[in-house]
Amino acid sequence: MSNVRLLSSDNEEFVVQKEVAERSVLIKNMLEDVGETDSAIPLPNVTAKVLKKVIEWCDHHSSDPVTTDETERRTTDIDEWDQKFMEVDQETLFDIILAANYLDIKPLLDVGCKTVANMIKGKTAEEIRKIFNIVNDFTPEEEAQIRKENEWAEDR
Amino acid sequence: MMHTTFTTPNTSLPLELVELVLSYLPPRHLIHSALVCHSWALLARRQLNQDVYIHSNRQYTRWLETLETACIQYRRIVRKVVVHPQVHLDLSDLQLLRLCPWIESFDISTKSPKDRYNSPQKLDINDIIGRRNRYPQLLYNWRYLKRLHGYHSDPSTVWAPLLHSQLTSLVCSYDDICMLSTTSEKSVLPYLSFSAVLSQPSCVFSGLLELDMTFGFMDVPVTTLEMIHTICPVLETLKLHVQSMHGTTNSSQLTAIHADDCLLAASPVNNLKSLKLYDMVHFDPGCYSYLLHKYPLLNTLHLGFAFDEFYTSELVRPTADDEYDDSDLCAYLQKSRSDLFELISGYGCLTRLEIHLQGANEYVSSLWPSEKMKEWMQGNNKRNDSGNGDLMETAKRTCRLQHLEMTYQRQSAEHSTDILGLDGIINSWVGQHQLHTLLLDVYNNSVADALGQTQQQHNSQHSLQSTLNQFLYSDGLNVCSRAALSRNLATICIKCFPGFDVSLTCLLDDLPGLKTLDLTFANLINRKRDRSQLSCSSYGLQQLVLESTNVKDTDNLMDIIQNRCQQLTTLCFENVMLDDNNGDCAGNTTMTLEESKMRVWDLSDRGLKHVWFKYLSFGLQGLNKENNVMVNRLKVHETTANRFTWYNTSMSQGTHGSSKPFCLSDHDPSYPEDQFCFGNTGASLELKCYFVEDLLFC
Repeated sequence: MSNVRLLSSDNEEFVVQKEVAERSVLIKNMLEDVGETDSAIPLPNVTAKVLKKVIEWCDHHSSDPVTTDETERRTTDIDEWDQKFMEVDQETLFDIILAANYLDIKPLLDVGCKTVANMIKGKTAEEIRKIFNIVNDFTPEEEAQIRKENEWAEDR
Repeated sequence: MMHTTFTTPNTSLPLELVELVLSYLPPRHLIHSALVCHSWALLARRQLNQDVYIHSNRQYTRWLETLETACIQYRRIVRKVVVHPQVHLDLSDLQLLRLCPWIESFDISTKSPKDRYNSPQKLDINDIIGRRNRYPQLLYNWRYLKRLHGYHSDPSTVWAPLLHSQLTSLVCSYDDICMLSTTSEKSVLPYLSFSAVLSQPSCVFSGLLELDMTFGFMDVPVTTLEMIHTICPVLETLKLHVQSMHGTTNSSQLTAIHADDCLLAASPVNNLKSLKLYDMVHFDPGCYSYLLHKYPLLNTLHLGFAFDEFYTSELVRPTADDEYDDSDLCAYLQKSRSDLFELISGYGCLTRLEIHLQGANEYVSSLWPSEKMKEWMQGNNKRNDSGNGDLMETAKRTCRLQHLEMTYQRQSAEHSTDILGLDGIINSWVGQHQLHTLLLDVYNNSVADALGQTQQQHNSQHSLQSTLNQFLYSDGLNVCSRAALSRNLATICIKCFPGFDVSLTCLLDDLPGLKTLDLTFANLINRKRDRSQLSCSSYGLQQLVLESTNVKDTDNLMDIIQNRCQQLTTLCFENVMLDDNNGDCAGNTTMTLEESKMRVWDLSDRGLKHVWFKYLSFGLQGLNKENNVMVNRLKVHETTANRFTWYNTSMSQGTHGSSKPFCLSDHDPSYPEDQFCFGNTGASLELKCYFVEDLLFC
């Protein structure tokens, strides 16, 4: 089993098994393009802290089958290990999502987004703004308009 | 308009990822997200509107009102609409199509969760189509419509020229197609106009993959198929509702079989994979050989015979003889018996076979080659050990069935004779490595009639019921071979009146690959195996559906559901009787009184997505004076809610759409007390349901 060297944005080097690293479609394509190489792959968008987490995830899921089942994707169920894995502070969580997006690791991205979706569930708009640090840019009229527009979906 | 949500680093996500997050939220949560800020509002609006699920009239009305006032950008998001069948749709003014011309899929036939594994969703916009003449301009709005289903009041010359190139799926009548003929002269016999259609097809359904056509009461020649394929060149699925089809163009007599004539015209069509014939009564054996040559690579075959006295007598009456006799039809059917078998076994690639029979026994038994079917299904095994020419012939095309479906509602007037030969078939398929779905729907009147009579005892050896019992309640004699051979069997759906015994433990042990189990009129009993090492610790069952079923071993069932089916996602009980079963379960003697008092069915750790209870009742026979406090609690944990939630108007407040625990007891005025009465000690059924995706409780 050959290894791959990954270089984080803060210049920390990680040695990872090739099949683990190839959970990332970005790295997989890179390796296919450059062929066998001894030099480390630079990942300028990912810090060592986040990369460590991502590698941990990839390692645990290295033998997962690649699923493209759309119905599977629709639910917000998260398996137990992943739930534990995602128990991190919010900043790290967002960083993991961004890294998964950059590295093109679809299943990790899904898990991250599901975690965020579960955070949003049941929250009011104001609470959501707080989580995401968003400024309310609605005028009261606009807000009323949107409420009205979406009323039908609330019907039970 | 697109404000970035990047305010400070790492406390927010770029919008495309926010959109991904929102895609996991059900509508009720999306409403809040829409109020966050302008850019979120746009994303939430798209999520809310591209797939719309309407579950009540009120909601439908309000949705239309919203659309009415909304701008075009808002309305063009709507692509897919699913409407719960309980919603009464008034499509007469075509408001929806006018407002949302970009709808690609419109579905008002949502199946209940328990049917989901069984059939793909259907679409029926019959109502809309019928109004076409009033709003001809709307035709131009249907440029994204792919599926057109329903029989139409308008002539096909109106819609076909507009839609022929875009449709992928069509349900129509034979007249519709004939009307496409460019010639104006109308023939008395519709099929005479084929040649006109063939020579000058006014429109070709170039993308049509699925065609469902009804012929009415006509007697049609098998060569009609040529015309269908000329108009629809890439057809993959063909469904024909045809009562009478004959092999040659000029004769409908029973004896006239001119197979050669047919074969001359038959050019093989290789892209057709699925052929479904419904309501057949009079089908010339010549047609069978024609079909065999025409579609050599079929993998799905559906044969539906409906021997209804009302029109069998009309169709099969011999010429110039007014005296009609049942035996005429029987004799005719007898003739086509071997041809029917030739047809079925002739398809070497057949993986899916559906047989639906209706009508009196003598017809069915005349036609249905049960013995030959059995041999065919055993073909794999028999091939080697027999030099018999007939068997060699059979084995030449070995059975590759993966899906077997048999329906017969009038099984046997003669006590419990097994007309379909299910005894042989069930026993043969056990040897079939590849079979993964078995659906049986047999209504056996006679067994019910014979109950209590000595005759039943006498015939029981050969009765269908005992066959099923033997199979479903297997006592471990044959376990090893069954387990090894039935690894592929994933779906069992059996509906058989007046009932059969099932031992769930044995069944699940025997069939490790079983994912879906759907039983109707079953009798769930507990049978412990001596060889306990055979039972697996956990099963792969994903869907369990019980209907009109008597559960004798409630504890065992709950144990299996709670502890041994880790992958269960769907649980449907309809009209199920849960008995307290201390009577016939010896293993429970160690249970103390305290334990037996409190039975908690805790399903909260299960990943259940669909839960459906309807007319659940509890037997009282297990209750005695010391043991009359039986508290059953059913806990279902909140899993996720998606937008396609099941909704029932009779459901009490708080069961659906809220995270409130829902408690039901005999104090609840909305439920009849007698259903949940456990004596005067106040014991109750308590159902704790945190939010489940689908919950239906009646």
